[in-house]
Amino acid sequence: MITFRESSIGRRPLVLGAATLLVAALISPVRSARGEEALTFDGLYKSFGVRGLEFSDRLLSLKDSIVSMKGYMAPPLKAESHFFVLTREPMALCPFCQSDAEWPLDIVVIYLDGTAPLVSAGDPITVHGRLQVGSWTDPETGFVSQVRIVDAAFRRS
Amino acid sequence: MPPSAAVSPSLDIENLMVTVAEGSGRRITILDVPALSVAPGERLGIAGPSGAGKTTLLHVLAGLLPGSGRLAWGAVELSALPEVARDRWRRDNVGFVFQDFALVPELSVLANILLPISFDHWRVPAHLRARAIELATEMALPETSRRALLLSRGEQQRVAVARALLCCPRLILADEPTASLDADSGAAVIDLLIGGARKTGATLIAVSHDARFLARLDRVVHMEQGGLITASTNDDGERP
Amino acid sequence: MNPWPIILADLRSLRWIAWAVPLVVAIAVAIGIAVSAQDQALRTASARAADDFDLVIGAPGSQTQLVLTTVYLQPDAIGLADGALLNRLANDKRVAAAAPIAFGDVVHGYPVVGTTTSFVSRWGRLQPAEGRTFAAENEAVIGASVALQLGATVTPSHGMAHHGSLGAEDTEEYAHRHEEAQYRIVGRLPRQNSPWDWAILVPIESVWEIHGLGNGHAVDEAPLGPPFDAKTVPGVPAILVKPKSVADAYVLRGEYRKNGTMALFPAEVLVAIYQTLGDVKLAMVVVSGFNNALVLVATVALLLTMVGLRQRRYAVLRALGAPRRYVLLAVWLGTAGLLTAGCVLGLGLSLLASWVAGSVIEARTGLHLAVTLGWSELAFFALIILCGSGMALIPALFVYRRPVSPNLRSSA
Repeated sequence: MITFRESSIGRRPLVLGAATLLVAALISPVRSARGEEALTFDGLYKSFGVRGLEFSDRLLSLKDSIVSMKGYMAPPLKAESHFFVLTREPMALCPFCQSDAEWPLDIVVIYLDGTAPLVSAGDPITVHGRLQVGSWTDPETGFVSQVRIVDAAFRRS
Repeated sequence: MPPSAAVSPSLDIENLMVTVAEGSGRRITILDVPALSVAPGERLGIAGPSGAGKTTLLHVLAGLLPGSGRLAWGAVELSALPEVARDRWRRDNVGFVFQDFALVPELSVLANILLPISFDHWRVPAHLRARAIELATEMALPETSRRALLLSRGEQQRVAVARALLCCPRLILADEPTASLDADSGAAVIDLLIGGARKTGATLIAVSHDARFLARLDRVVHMEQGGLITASTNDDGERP
Repeated sequence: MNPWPIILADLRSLRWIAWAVPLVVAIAVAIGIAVSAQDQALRTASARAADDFDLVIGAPGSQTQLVLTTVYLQPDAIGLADGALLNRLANDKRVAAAAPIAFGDVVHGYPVVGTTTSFVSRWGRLQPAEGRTFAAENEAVIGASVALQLGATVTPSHGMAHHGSLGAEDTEEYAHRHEEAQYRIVGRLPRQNSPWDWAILVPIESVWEIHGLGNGHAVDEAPLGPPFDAKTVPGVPAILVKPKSVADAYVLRGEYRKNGTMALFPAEVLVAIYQTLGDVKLAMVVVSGFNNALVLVATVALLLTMVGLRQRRYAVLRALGAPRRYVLLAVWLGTAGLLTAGCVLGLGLSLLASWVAGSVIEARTGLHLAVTLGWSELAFFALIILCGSGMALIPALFVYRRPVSPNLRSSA
């Protein structure tokens, strides 16, 4: 029974999960071989000034290139969606800490290239995809975001 | 008009032996034929008591059962061929008739006659379909769309003879073709077999107990305990 | 080579078994696919229903209950959040729109929901399909499935924990009428395939007034909707917030999770439910997988027996000149064909079963389940066909390997 709980592919039959793992295993060496740039939360912004956030030069130079980024999946804003939010810190489950009361502003919005089950909240994940920078309004949800990784795929790290 | 077959090659057997393993691991000989020749177009009868190895001999002649020694069909060394080649040779040269007809009861008369065509054709060629219908008419089988299981025993065996003759075989093998039939039906089948073989110049080898049948063949060999005992020539046999 | 005549003959000789085998396989396959497809449809429908509910703020309590009550209109007594929050949120730069929702009353079994025109139009997305939205305290807009006529006048009653029948006012409901209040139905919303299709939407002010709390405004004749400038704005069970940006959504969620309020994304609760649902489903998929395997094994065993009884037929074919692979192909295609027919039939059956189950769920919850076959169901389907075809090789190889001569004489 523990294996069921552990599964990150709860909604799909085992078959497809196994196939996904196989594909992921086949694809991942290729991707890292491509020499993509690793992005970190510290390197996103130059300043958190009064005039708002200012993008760092490195972030701007990586615009539209393939990047990888480590972080945590935030509580989902939409169920059954192809987007989620990547944060620096995991969501706190402890009611005394409530670190998510001071939610950091430097989030990155991830648009997956397909709908994926968002079930690994709290686990560190690595996201791969194309970096987009600048204010953009999602026509589907009406939400504005600043930094995005699109056509993305993720795995636990 | 049936296409005329080329003259059948002669059949030659030397030191043919078939052995089977017994439960104790000992091998026993079920067929031992030192020598047998069948001339092209000859009609040979095989007689003898049950268990004498008549059917075994027939299976060996058809290439269904490999034995040791030499079995040649003209220039074709049948005993030296691999199974796939023997299957192909059988398909191209042999027509088989069984005691129990061995039809596919769920198929129609026509489908049964045409069954061997499906072994190497996706579609039945028109001339073969026409020939099948012609054969059915010749064998007094007018209802070609009837299922085989609805036919009388005599009719069923006539379907089997038509199936055997369809591709103008050069060797017709028959295993007790009249044993399951009444006298009249048996006589009809004998006529059709001998007539069919004569028409195409095919060699006919038949295992039979039926004296009327054996009497109409060129030669009859008697078998006992896996071996040939005597070979008698029917002087009154029908010559073409 | 065309083994079709033999396949046909073999199927005919199977008689009723040729029908029973695909049927049994179909039922086994249908269960597996239906469970999977139903689960997916339920997720999609419940997620879609929550689409306009980005951030919900309420009084501290059960997160799941807050979501069930607001998004799925499952009635329950939940605590009230301070009405003053409405004005605070209305003036917040990070908020695109906010609307209160209040429940409690029923009309003919339909829940009456008090809100503002902003949420009636789903943040400007929806136009009434008929009529117009409410513009006065005694007007109401109904969901697509509410069986009332435009222009009708209805009297709300105190909602009771007992479940009345939809579309009719029973004695219980009649006994708890708010006699002084009446709503005239002025519009009907388009279908949204959510429980809100069964709701009657009225101005929040009316709900407050019926319960003797004033209208939330400083003067009686104030226009409907914000700002609510009364000295004390009455409390509301829930406030729906549409944040401007993704980052704002998270910041607002954090801010309103302290100081006596609770804030959450309905998606959080749904994903947690899905996880449990997924575990249950996975268990069922595994069970149905075993079930399918068992049916396949039993079927192949049965067909193997049948093939064993037909050994002489195949030996005769060989004697007539058929190569080994002709016999192999005939037996394999026959068996695989039966199993595949069962799988295809099962696919159809699963859609039928899902449709029936979907209708039942829609009647109970208002969620419209659009069952579609996704990749995972099709993969499952393909896997079973693949397994079936693989197992069909067993009788085929059995026949392939048999010697001809002994079988040729067996029944002679």
